[in-house]
Amino acid sequence: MIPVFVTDAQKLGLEKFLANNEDQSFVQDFMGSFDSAFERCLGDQECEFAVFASEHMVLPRNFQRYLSEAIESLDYRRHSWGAIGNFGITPFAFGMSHSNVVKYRNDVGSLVSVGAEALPSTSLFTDLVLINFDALRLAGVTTLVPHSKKEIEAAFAITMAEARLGMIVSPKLATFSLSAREFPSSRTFKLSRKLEQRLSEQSRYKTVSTVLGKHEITFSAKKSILERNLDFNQISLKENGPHPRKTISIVIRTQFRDKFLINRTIMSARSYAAQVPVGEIEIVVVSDRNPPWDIDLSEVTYIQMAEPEDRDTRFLLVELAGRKLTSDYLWFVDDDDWMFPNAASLLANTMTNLSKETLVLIGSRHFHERNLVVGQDRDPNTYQVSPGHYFSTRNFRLGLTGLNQIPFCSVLWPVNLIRAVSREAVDSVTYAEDFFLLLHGLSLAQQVAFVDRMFVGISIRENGNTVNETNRSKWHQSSAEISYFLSNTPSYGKLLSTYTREQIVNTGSTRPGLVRRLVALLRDPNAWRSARDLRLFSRVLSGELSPIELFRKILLILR
Amino acid sequence: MIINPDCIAMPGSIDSLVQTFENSKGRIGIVEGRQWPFEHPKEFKIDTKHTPWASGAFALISSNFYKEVDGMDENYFLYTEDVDLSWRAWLQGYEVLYERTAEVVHFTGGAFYDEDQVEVEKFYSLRNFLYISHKFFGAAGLTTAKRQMHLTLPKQFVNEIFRAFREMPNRSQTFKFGHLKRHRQVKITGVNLYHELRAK
Repeated sequence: MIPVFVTDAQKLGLEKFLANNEDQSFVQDFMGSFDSAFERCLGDQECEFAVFASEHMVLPRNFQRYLSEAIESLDYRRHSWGAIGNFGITPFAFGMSHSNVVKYRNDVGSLVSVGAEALPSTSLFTDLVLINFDALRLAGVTTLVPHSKKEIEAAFAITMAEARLGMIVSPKLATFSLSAREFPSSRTFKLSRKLEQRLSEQSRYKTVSTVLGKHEITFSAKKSILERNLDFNQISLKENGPHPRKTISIVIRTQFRDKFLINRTIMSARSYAAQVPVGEIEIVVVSDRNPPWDIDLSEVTYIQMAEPEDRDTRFLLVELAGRKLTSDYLWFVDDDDWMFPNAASLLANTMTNLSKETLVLIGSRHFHERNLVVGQDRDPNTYQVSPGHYFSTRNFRLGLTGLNQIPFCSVLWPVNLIRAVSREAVDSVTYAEDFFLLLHGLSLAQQVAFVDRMFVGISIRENGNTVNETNRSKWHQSSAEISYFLSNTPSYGKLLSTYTREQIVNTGSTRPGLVRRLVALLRDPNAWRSARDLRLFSRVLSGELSPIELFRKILLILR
Repeated sequence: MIINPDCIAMPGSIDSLVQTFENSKGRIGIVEGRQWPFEHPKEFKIDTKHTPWASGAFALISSNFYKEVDGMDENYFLYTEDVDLSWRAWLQGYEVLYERTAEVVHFTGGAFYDEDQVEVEKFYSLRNFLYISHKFFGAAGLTTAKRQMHLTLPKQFVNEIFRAFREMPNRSQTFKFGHLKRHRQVKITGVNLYHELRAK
């Protein structure tokens, strides 16, 4: 039996809690502050775990069983986590709301925000929290860092982070709260001087967020920047990991048209794989033709279609990879993309915090590769590369309006989701199979997580990219096929009815916001909508394109 | 040849550096390769390949030159030490070249930092900006550098950089220009910016 302390309650508060909770056998006869309960439990060697609850919390009847299940699920990392709560901030965005705030409690104002995942947390509301005192003692914690009463959550987060103990927000601790507490994401919460000083001596960030809001950190001259290594996000990702590590197949679809580019993609995949434990990343090349002798396929799994097809094979290659590969996740990249090895450990750590049924969306960026001299093909003397549009996962919902806002390489697919695509869809949809798959994934995935960092570079060249094709008839045909499948597959309907274009584009409702979004829509180089020509003008306005280049492109279109 | 641990040399890139070094008629101090996909936004001349400074991420350095100038200035530790070496090359009558065909993959860390994070790289770069300003342009250079930092960075952070600068050993040394008082390749254009514009 895990004791429950009703904290910060006087006699009336305790009575209120007892009146609202049917099973009272585990409630401690205690009246005192969070701090005094914390010190009492920490000093009691017999106290392994304890729950601190505020008077307005109503617990489910089987709460004790749920607590045991929450602890058991983390048993293999018993001493790396310090607390479990039901309302906190995750270090990555989660759910269709693309939010870092996860709330597993109903209250008088709103319902739980997402479902079914124990997630790492950088900060928890302390009005319901299960504390692992055994781990705290082992980590050398003797007390909470000094704080005022109103900043208990910040002090709790700092104490856990200093001890390098993870925190978790878990659905097993779901409750009803008679108080509707909200996460003030946009509010700046001024910490007391002492606590702010403590943070500023340890953090390299200028702002730090806890459930209380954003805290602005001034630089302290007391400690060198080099000694500051308190990073809530990093600690929560590294120390928690409620799920096993994942295996990922990086699948490169190719027809070996450009030796230089495919070799570059394979090389970056090798570099990426070298940054994570051996065996976690498998590099796969999948093609509908024989590989030329001068493509380096060492340490690469090669899969080739058995029969040549008289059609565009890109979707067939996806289906083939799904059928043949056994990794937890498939990560499809084109044969001119590249992965950034710098980001590999962040993604691998994040994945240990997710169940393997979660669809994971990541950030990617266009890189414009062009020759300064017209007519020359990748002459090293005149060839230039410059970073272009960044595809933030925050815009993923625009994908539901018909704009492909998430490139294919920005999705990590649970292998079962790929296997669930109907054969008829594979046979019908050729171009825009990535867009179709994204809708398919969002419809069927158990959950969606977002890591909004740049993981992939996408090469955009003046020729060789299908996205630049002037004849759009193949794209239009695919749009027709997709339309049929979206309209006739019951599982897709639920998702699509959630959002309309108007709702998404007008989010924020202010006129500048709308104009900004419209400009973003027009500038989006990955969309195939009719606004293609207008986008050129918006690029001139943003300086991406010179007037001469614009003129040349218009001539090309007119031809 | 020096190369960063986070660089991957593309096939033929080292040969290309060597070839440029051997084929050049001038007195070559450093030949720098090109970084991909985050190309340095730097000044260079397509015809002569001259560049004011070479990044130390991937460069071929003449050992004669290196010995003559007594190698890197260890006061820097990291960041800006390559600008210092390049400027000393120009001031000692050596050329610094940029060889675009020598391509190296460098997934530079700067592209991945959070905007509100003060990275160690930023810290060292700014501290060393004060140092290089003083070393090459004397007290007037240091005053200008401090003024620029005050204009562009938060006060507390600037104070921390100043403190770190004050703690640097041998921070007061200035470079002896010898017979050269000025050189067009030695120029600071802003906080931690050295000839940032690309020559067309």
